[in-house]
Amino acid sequence: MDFDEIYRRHYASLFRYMCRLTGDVDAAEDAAQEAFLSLLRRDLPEDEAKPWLFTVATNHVRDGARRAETRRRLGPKVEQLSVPPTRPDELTERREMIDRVRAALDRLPERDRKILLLREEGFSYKEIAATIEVAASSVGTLIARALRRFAAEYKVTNEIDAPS
Amino acid sequence: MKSTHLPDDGVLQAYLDGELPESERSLVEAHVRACVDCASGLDELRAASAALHALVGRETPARAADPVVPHPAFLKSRPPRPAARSIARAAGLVALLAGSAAVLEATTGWIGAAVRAVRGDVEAPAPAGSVESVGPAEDALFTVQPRGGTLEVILDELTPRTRVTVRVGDTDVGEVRIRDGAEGVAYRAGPGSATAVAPGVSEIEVLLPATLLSGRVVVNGETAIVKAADRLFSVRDAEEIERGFRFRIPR
Repeated sequence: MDFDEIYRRHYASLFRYMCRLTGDVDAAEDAAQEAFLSLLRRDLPEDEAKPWLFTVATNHVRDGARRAETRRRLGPKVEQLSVPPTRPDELTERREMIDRVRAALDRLPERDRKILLLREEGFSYKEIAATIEVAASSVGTLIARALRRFAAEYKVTNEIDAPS
Repeated sequence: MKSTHLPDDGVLQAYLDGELPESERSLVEAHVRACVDCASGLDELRAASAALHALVGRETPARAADPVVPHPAFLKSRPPRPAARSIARAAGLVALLAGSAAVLEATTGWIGAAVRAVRGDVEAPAPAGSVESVGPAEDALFTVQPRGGTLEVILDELTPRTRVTVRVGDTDVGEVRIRDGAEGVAYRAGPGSATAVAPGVSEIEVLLPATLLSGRVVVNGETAIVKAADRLFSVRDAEEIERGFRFRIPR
């Protein structure tokens, strides 16, 4: 395995995918780096490394969310200064559009969201199948279904948000 | 005229995505020419696909949408370092890098360095102050100095509401606190982060343990310093001072 080559070829894609999946740039960066750190402790051929990285990064975020939920239930162990930032510039048209896209993506089933975003990263059907663990023959159908759901959710979000 | 519809949307989608063999592509094209329903379905999928692509592209933050691809030569050209780490060496290894590309290259090194340390490879020290020149000095001041068992990063001349975060990638302790006596914000188990927001024109102090394998200091959402094992990368030009380095970042 040529780690440098795999890193160079897939880091940006993994970072971007995780960012789109989570909506959190920092969490996405952490997850991407943790996935590559894990990869260095393994020896996988590149065709296996790519779906493996995307799966590990996704699991990292999910596990992190579980830990955060546990911390929330148990009470804060990490002391934080709570001074919320005020961002009036966020109330822009662009911000609203981003929120609508985010909302539509978030309302999709997790598998739909993953499959659409993996496709955006140029994954082949075979790679998508390996990453989300479905039969390659079903990927086309799953993408089509997810696309139709996204279109419907985005339309609903626009209608909800549109000024009356 | 139309015959039986295609079995499901999956065939049309695979056609759009170039996943069908040529023989099946020809069949789909012939069918769609004759079948209004399937032609309409194909148009819908194509439109939804284009819309998703455009919307997701616009939704993605610039930092992730178009990240600079790390230079693979960076890892290979890095001089080897000893596995054992020390504050003095860490302070002496401030690499001076410029712009966002430098940050990502630093990130590449961060990963490589952390894993090399985990594996226990024996490496020799990098030369201190290897420099890639950068743009003009900006506003807020950073000072990086060793203090006890940590690297002390002082940010001063900050404007009110400047947000400083230390993000820790392993299980070491990082800390960020307002220097005017307010309570510190400690982070004690990784990976995770701690943030302080400057209440006024004030100083913020960040402590990075020498043993921290991976961490970074983020100011208002932009990475300013990356710590990778015993190396420290800044995104701005720096000047060497008596026991450390000083540089500026945009406020």
